[in-house]
Amino acid sequence: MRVKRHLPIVLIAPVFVLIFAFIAYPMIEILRISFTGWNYLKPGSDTFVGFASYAKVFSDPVVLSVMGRTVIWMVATTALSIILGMAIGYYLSQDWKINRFLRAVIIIPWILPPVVSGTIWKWMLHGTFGVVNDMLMRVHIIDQGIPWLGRPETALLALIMVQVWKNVPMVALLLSAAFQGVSLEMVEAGRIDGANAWQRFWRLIFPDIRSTFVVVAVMVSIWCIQQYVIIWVATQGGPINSTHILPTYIFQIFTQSYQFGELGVLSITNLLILVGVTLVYIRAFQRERR
Amino acid sequence: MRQRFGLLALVVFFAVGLAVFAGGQKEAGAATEGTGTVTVWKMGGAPKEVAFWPVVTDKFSAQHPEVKIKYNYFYGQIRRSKIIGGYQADHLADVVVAFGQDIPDFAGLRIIVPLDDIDADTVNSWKDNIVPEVFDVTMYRGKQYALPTYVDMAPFLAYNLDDLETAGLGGPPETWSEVKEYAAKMNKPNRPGIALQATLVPVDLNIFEGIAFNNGGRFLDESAGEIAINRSGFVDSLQLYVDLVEAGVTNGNLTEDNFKVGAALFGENKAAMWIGMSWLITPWFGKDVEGLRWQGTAFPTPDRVSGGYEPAAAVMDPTAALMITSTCKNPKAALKYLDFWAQPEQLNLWGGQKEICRVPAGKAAYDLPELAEAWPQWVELYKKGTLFEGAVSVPRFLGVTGVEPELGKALQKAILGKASAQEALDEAAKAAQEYYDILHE
Repeated sequence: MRVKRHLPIVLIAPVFVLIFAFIAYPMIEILRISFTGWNYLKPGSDTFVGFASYAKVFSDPVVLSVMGRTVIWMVATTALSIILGMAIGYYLSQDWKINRFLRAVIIIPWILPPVVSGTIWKWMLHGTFGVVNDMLMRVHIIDQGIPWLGRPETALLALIMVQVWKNVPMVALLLSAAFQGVSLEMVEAGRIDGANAWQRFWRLIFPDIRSTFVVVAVMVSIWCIQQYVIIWVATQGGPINSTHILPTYIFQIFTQSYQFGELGVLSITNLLILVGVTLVYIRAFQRERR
Repeated sequence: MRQRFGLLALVVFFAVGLAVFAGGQKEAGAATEGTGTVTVWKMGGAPKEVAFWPVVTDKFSAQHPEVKIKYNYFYGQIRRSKIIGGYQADHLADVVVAFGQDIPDFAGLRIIVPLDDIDADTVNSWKDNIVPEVFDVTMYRGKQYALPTYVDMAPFLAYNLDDLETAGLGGPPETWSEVKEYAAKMNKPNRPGIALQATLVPVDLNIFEGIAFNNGGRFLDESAGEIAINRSGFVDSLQLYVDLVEAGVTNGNLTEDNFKVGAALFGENKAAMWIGMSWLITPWFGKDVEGLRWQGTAFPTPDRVSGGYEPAAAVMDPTAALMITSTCKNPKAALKYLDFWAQPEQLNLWGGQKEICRVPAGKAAYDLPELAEAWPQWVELYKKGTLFEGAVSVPRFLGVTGVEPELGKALQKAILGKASAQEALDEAAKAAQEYYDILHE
């Protein structure tokens, strides 16, 4: 009887131990570090300083601009990835022979390692050697090369496009699968009843794919906010901090200045943003289920 | 019955665990002094260097069967993060091949150990083989932390001989004023008179630091513990960059063009001059080198030195220095590997191959006819005792990697016209000082 009562606890315990070891403990440790003034190069600096690191981080104009840019990055990349992914996904969902081939080919940007994507685009966008500038000049849109990644005004925009390029294939494939599940009879009935294309999409098709759409939207926003490799490879957060988002800034602190107290604060901030996004997802998903 | 089975399982589990643990201990402790496995991480390098490192390592293995080398090569740009991450994860190589500039931070983080603490006699014996000025560059706080194999020096100037002749110029520029004048004369539409670089990669910053040191600047006023990059030595050097940019005689994308792009522009005949390091363009441009008539020389000196320090002829850094890590279980065996590299036969690999083009650390390399043929000026200066005269290390102090990016941002701000040279460097110095004070208070 006693064994029967304790068996579920025994069976669940390893999972709890693993979750604690690999998720809860690192979070608790990061939280603890954020209340210290720890610099890895300075022995003895791992001492409690209250909210001093928080005060320092949140009064630093560079950090505030990085946070603002993180939000812009996340919103812009997510929105553009979804819009383009949905459009491409819709066409991929059609039962055309060529789509079998396209569905296989389109995945390439997604499967490329971010470091490869970053390197490829760094060269493609280069002001002198880049193929993008060459094409734009050939069609007379510009008359001389633009250093897309070399100017603060264009660098973030260029990197947003790179991230969108990387996200779109997976978004398109996921949504194309959802589109394939839409009832064609209902859409056809709508057409016969006089609904135009826009109305058919929003009133008949979109409600059917909404659950997938919400999941994809949240996944994409999480991919985006976790991304630092492409940016780091392409610009290292420059020029003049113009492409730094929280993950790249955290990486810079980790590898260059070792200000772990501040790194802890920024990691907690990043975590809160992720939690916020996830909560939005959970609420939206629950609403869908109801 | 079930309880007995559970107990038995627990006992077996612990017994197996203990056996595995004991086995691991036995293996770790089994190596006698100077024997065992040594893991090596090599990062970056010119293609020919990347090719010969494992070959030399195999040669070592053949001569020293008591030491088993596990050699790994990684992309150069991840050097610091790979080493620091490896140390934190307790998964670090026994020997790492890194930059001399990394030494203060790695020593401060206790990632690497002084080599003379492992075997002072062996380390002292290297002095017979290695140029003293180069050997000193890998010393930190009186201890030898690395074995240098060569140094890269900055600043150097590469210039196109055809352009020079077409512009009616007799020889390369010798002063900063002449740099501006020559760049203007050789400038053509879509083909800049001079290629510069100003990304955040350390080599770009080292090149600029070489110019500033040459103008009597220093990164740090060591006696006062003050960051000195906003003093005239650095400010006027940055103004030189700004003047060239504003005159429209440079490549248009300095903030995205790193040293490799600068080299490629020059090597592909897309720029008349280029500011680089001692290796100049050779390792970095791909083909058609035969069609290019060019020469390299030390970068011109300022018309009037404006910095407060002794002008340094050049800055130098050994960018493939072998270091032994604190997690190394067989330091004596690792030192054998370093000792192998410290011998003339290995150090001579940097003696005269144009594709590699480093300033050799080995004394014997300067007697090689190949080096005399490839870089006669270096050999001549070395024999006269002036090749390293007035050369100093690139900035090296605890926390330098944390403050150097501030200099990079200042360069970009001034070049992009977001601030004057003085304003940009004032801001950078303030941020760098704050960080420096945290570490040194």
